[in-house]
Amino acid sequence: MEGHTDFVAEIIKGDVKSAKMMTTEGARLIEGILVGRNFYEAPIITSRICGICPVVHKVSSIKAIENAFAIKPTVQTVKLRKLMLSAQIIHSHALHLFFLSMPDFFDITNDLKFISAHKRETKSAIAVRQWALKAIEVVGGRAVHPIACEVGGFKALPDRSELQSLIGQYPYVLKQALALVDMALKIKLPKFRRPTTFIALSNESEYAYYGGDIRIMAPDGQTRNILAKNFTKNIKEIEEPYRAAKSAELDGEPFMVGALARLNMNNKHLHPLAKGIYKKAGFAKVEYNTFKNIVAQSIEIVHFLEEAKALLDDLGDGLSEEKGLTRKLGLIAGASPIGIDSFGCDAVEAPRGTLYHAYKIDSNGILTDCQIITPTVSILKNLESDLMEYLPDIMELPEKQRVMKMRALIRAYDPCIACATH
Amino acid sequence: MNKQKTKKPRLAIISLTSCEGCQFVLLDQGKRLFDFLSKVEVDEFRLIEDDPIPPGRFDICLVEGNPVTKENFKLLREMRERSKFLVVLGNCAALGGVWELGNYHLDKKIIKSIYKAKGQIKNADVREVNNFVKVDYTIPGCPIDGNEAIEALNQMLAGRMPSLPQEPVCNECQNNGYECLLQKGEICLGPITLGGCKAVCLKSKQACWGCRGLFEGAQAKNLMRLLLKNFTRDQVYRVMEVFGARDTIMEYLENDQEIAVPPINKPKKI
Repeated sequence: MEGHTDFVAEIIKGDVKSAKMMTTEGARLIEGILVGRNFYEAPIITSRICGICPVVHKVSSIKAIENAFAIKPTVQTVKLRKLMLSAQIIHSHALHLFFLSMPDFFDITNDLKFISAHKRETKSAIAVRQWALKAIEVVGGRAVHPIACEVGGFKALPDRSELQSLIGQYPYVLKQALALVDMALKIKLPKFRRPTTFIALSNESEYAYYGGDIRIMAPDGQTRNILAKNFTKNIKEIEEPYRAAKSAELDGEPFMVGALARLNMNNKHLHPLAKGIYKKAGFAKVEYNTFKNIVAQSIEIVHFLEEAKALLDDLGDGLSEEKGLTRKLGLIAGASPIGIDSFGCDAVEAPRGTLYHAYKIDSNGILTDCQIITPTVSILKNLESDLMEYLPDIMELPEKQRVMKMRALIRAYDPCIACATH
Repeated sequence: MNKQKTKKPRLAIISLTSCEGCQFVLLDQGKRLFDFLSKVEVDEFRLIEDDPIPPGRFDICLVEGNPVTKENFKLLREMRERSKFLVVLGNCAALGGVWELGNYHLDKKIIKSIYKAKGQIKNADVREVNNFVKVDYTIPGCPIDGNEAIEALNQMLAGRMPSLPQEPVCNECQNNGYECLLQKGEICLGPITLGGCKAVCLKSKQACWGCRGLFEGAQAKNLMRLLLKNFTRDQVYRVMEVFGARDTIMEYLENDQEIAVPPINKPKKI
């Protein structure tokens, strides 16, 4: 998985007393590092939180700062960002689903062995990933730690012919993705159910990922919306003595974010192909089996391919040579364009769930405070609760098998400890 | 002739505290990476396998990230002892990475404001891997360049020491016809930074902030003089700091009498 983690459970006379995810990753104190830096450095530095989802850190950081300055990016800028975010979700899911999570269900601990046993599927997974990575490279200048996007817009625009070539490869890539979905649907997932709270962005026009309200679905299925700017009023970060990473709670209770949360709440907005698969995949109206997060990810790969295709069609036709607002507003000099102290925050859907960035910026454009709540921080508590509930189910199994099952559940969450321990 | 089964070289890829982006760059090479991996025995690749590190000696060990925790240091020292050839992968391991910013500007009060619980964060200063163990080769960049990395690894397999042309980023920037941001009035470290990245940042109109470190023979004094005509020392340092290049550049400039350099780690307070 991304980052390192250990799991320790305390079992006394067959009762599970506690379940703890210990992170062994060193804390990098990124929020502290940012204090005193100029606002335009934040997207560059925060993208280094994570090597697999740098795009989403960059985009949420940019959006939060734009909110602080009351800057509204152009429609084209938003489309380009959405294309990158879609591609990010596709390649991250494809990696996790195929290379990290699936081997667990074939009782293989070494993914390289899994790869040599599944050559054809490996080819499909690589094809899907390469296409999505290329899309990020075309728009952002580079796949890992993209460069071109900044507060206000894009430093440089993508090459039109490269956008066209992505469109040309799309039918082949979609076919490969559907093959992966077939494989994911065939996995026999453990039966498990623990009602919990789901949180994801939502808006009325689409399967939300770039923006919207925070929708909360309580264990009884009731939903309510809060504004993204009230995120930290409702969701509290807590520290545990046993790990460097923080974790989060909603009103003192654990909650779940990510593909399963999004699918549970926003499935009516899925694109046609993805919606068809969702309907056939046997999801409960509200699905509480965390293992199904894997299937949810495979459906999202198809949805975001369809989303990326629509954006590409749009952009490929009419990319205009507009200059980013950065230079227009004189942001390049680094001063705050509004000349007063300001605060801005925003939430974006990362592959692993809702990501929140918030910044206080002084009149000189210097960051004076910063808070980042990553999806893995959000899910740690829920994962521990799931493990507590799941352990008794598998207590009778021999130790080796039990470890495999636990590992599979932990990995179904797709935790990214690097992100958690920022 | 005796048919002797040739044993494949053993490879380990370990990750200390980092974003793991450089490992992802490797993984993102797709088929090219798997072709390379088929020529070696991959005995440790934590990103995609969970098996414990097997015993014995390794031929090549790639190290990503900085040693920050006790476990990081232990793993690094152990792998150095057990590896013939230790290669650092990327800017964090080679130059300290963006995390090194904390050394300059992070005081205890800030740490306390982020992590309120006591005794939680035992991080030492962030320092380059070569401060702690001998490094045989460096694959530079934040992140590394995939082509360059696979090429270098293949060279190593063939028993050759890979060599990087000691040229500035400017060469590739000019060859590609990108706009010169230094002339345009930005702080760009392209003239002293090791090329090989295809000037990828300049392609996106982002000035070079030196993530690949200096090339041999870089005219750091000249660039410094030029930059100080238009920018304050603080502005220049701040750019050099982002990817951990500041201390390396300072070392380079240390003997220069014309530019008085304040001691490292004690920058002017903002």
